[in-house]
Amino acid sequence: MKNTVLIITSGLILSLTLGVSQQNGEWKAPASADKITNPFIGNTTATVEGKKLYKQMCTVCHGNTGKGDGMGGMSLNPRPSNFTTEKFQSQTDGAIYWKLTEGRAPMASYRNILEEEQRWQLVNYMRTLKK
Amino acid sequence: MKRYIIILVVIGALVAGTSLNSCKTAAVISSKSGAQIWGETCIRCHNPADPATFSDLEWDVVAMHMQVRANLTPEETKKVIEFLQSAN
Amino acid sequence: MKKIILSILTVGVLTVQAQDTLSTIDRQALQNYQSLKPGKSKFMLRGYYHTGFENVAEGDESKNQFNFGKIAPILMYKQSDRLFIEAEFEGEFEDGKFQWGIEYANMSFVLNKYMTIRAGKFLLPFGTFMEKLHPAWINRLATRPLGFGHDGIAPTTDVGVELRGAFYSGSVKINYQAYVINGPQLKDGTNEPEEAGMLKFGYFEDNNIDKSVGGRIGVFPFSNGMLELGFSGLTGKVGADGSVYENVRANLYAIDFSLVRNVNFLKSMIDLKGQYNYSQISDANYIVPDDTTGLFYDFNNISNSYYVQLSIRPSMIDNEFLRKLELVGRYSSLQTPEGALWEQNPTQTALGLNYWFDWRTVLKLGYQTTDGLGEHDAPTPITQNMFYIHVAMGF
Repeated sequence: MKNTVLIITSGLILSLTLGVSQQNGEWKAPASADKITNPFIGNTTATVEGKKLYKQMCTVCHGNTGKGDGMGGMSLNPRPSNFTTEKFQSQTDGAIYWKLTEGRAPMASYRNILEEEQRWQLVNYMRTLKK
Repeated sequence: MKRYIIILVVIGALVAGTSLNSCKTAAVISSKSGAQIWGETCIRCHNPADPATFSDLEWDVVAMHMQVRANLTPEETKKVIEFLQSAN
Repeated sequence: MKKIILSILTVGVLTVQAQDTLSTIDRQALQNYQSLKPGKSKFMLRGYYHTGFENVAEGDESKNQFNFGKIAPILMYKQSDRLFIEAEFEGEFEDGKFQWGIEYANMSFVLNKYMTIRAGKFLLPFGTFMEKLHPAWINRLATRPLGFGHDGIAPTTDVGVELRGAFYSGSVKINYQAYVINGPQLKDGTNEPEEAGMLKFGYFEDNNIDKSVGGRIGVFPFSNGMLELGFSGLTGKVGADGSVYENVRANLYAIDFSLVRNVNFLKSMIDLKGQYNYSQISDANYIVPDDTTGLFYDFNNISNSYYVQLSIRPSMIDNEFLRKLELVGRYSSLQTPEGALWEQNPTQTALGLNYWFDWRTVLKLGYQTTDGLGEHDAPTPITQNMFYIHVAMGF
C-alpha cells in the first residue's frame, strides 16, 4: 500500500509539472494592427450581426458570455481567451481584428472562413462582453 | 418473428436513406459552423481534439476515420476539417 | 564617360543576373513544393496505449502489481475521398505471453451522402460501449462495465458487411447501422462444460450456414446533439449445423443513451451515459459434466446487464489544475441464467478521479467494488475490491 501512495503522489506531481510547463507565451498583435480602424464603430446593426456570428463560431470555445469556458475549449492549451477581462478589452479594435484574422493554434484563422465585414461585426459584439 | 422485425427495420432504414434527398435539413443545422460541429460532436465520446495536434494532411485522414466511426454526414465532416485546418 | 557607361552596364548586368538568380530560386521552390504536393492517398499510424498499477483484493487474497495493459496501433489509410481502410491491432500479455491480436480490419466505401458500406472485421454497433467508448483513452474508467469483455453477454466484433450512415429530418439527426455477419456461436459444453449455453463472439470458422443480422438506430432529438438515444438488435442461429443445437437461436437487444452538456450552476461539464443489454437464447439441453449416465440439464437462457456512468469535469472554473480533473462514478450489474453453470449476478460500483494532461492523455485513479454471485465456473459469492492507477494515451 505504501507503494501505491508513493505512485499516486508522484503521479500527481508529474501532472502538476506537466500542466504548468505547457503554458504558452502571451499573444500580442503587432503594433501595425493597432492602426487598422474599425469601419463599424458605434454601428449597432453590425453588433447584432456580430452576436449571431459569435453564437455560431465562437461560443463553442469562448462560452456564451465570453469567459473562455465553452465545452470545446475544455482541453485546449492555451485555454480560450476570456473576453470579459480588462486585459482583453484594453486591446484596440484593430488588434482584436488582427487576431481573429490571423489565428494562432488552437485559435482558428478566420481570414478565409469569414468576410472582412463579418470579422468587424464580431469585434463589435466582443466589445459588449466587457464585465 | 423477431428476425423479420429486424429485417424490416433494416430495410426501412435503407429506404429512408435513399429517399431522403427530398428531406430538408433545418436551417439551425445547416448554418452550424465547423467549430460548432467539432465542439458538439467530438465531445459525445472524447474531449474535442486540439486543432494544433495534426497537420492539414493528417486531419484529412482523421476526419475520414471519424466520419465512418461516428456517423458524420460528409457535409459535417467537410466543415470540421475546414475548421481544424484553419486552427492548426 | 567611359567609366560611367561601364558602371551602368555592370550594374545592369548584375541586376539581370540577380533577377535570374531569384527566379531560379522561385522556380526551385515551386518545384520543391510540387514534389511535396500530396496525392490522393494519405496514411496515418495512430492508436492508444494504457498501463498501470493495480491492487486487487478478493477474500483473503490480495494482488499488487504493475499491469502491462494494452498497446493498440491503428493503421488508417485514406485511399481516396471515398475509400478508406483501417485496422487496429492489439498487443497484450495473456498468461505471461505477449500476443498480437486484431481488433478490427475493414474497408469503407462512401456510397453517397447518406450511406457508407463497410466490409471486413468490425466492432459491432451493439449499443455504444464496444464500438465507441471502450478505448482506454476514451473510457473514463480503467475497467469495463459488467457484461462487456471477457465472458460478457454483449457482442464485440465479427466479420461481415455493414451499411451505415446518417441523415437529418428537420433538426433531428438519425444515424443507423445495419449488418450481416457470421454471427455469435453457442458454446455447447463439448470443450468447456461449465460454459454450456454461453455465446462466443469474435471471428471463428462459422458453425452454420445461417448468417446473423443486426443493427442500431441512434436518434439525436435536439439540434445541439447533446442527447442521443439508441436501440440495437442482433439475431441469428448460434448452434452448429448437424448438431442437436442447430435450431438454437440468439436474440440480443440493447438500449443506450448519452447526455453531454455544460451545467452552469455546477460550473462543469457533465457526461451521463448508459447501456442495457438483453440476451435471449433458445432453451436447449446440455450434458451434465462428469456424468457417465448421459444426464442432461436445461435452464431458461436469458441474461441481462446494464451500466450507468456519470462524469463531471469542472471545465468552467478558473483554476488551471482543478479544471483538468474529472470525477467519475459508474454502477453496473450483470445477471446470467439461474441454473446455468456460469450463473452470476454481480453488481459493481466504480469510482474514479481523472487528471487530463491534454485532450487524449489521462491519469486515472480508481476504486471499484464488485459484489454478488460470481466466477462463472464456480458460482460462489464473491466480493472483489480493486484499486488502480492507470495512464492512458491516445496517439
